Amino acid sequence: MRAGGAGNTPGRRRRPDDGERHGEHGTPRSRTLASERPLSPHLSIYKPYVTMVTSIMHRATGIVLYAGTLLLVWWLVAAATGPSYFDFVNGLAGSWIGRLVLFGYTWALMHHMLGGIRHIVWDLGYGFTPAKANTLAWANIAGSIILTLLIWIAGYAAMGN
Amino acid sequence: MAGDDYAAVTARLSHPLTAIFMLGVIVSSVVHMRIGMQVVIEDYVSGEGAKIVWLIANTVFSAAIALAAIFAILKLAFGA
Repeated sequence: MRAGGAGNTPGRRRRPDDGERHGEHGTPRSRTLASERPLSPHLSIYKPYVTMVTSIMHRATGIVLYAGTLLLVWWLVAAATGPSYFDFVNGLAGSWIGRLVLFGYTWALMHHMLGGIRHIVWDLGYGFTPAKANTLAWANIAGSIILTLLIWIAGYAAMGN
Repeated sequence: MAGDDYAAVTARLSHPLTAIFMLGVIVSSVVHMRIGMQVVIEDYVSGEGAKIVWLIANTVFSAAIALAAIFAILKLAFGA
């Protein structure tokens, strides 16, 4: 990515006035900056690793939960509205697609919650070595799945069907 | 509570401790939602104008959702 212009060719000494000449003689300034500054590598060139995946998942689940709060508030407002509207919303929530959405919502909540606990651990100054950070990330993924399943098993047990 | 009928749900939500707990859940969640989404907007929306519009939309949405939930909880708590 770093073409750098003629002045940066290996084996050739860069002339000290190159940058100024680019800036002053018609070349757009942005091109000058692009050639002079190191570029941040793009996401696609990284090999995926687990702490990166959980970092992205933490933000993604947060965004999903932001939208999902609307569902909880919808259900609360329905309960405050009256029996017939509540039955309609409760029926949607209890349908197979409603349960699928709520199952996904549960998992997102558990993943984001455990991610938050992971951040508290870091804030307390622990878990920064690569080995510990990887263990925490895998625990986050495994824990979110286990907790989600336990919640739904408990829910179905409580409903008795 | 999920899956219960109207009478059971409204009875549960009308208990003062449940209502206070639910108010706490809603307020803390919406505050967290708002500041979290603010960081996402600041990270991904380029352009000052668009950024300001999205930040205002975030605040308006958060306020609206919190008000709706608080109203619903209080109505149920005070006897819907």
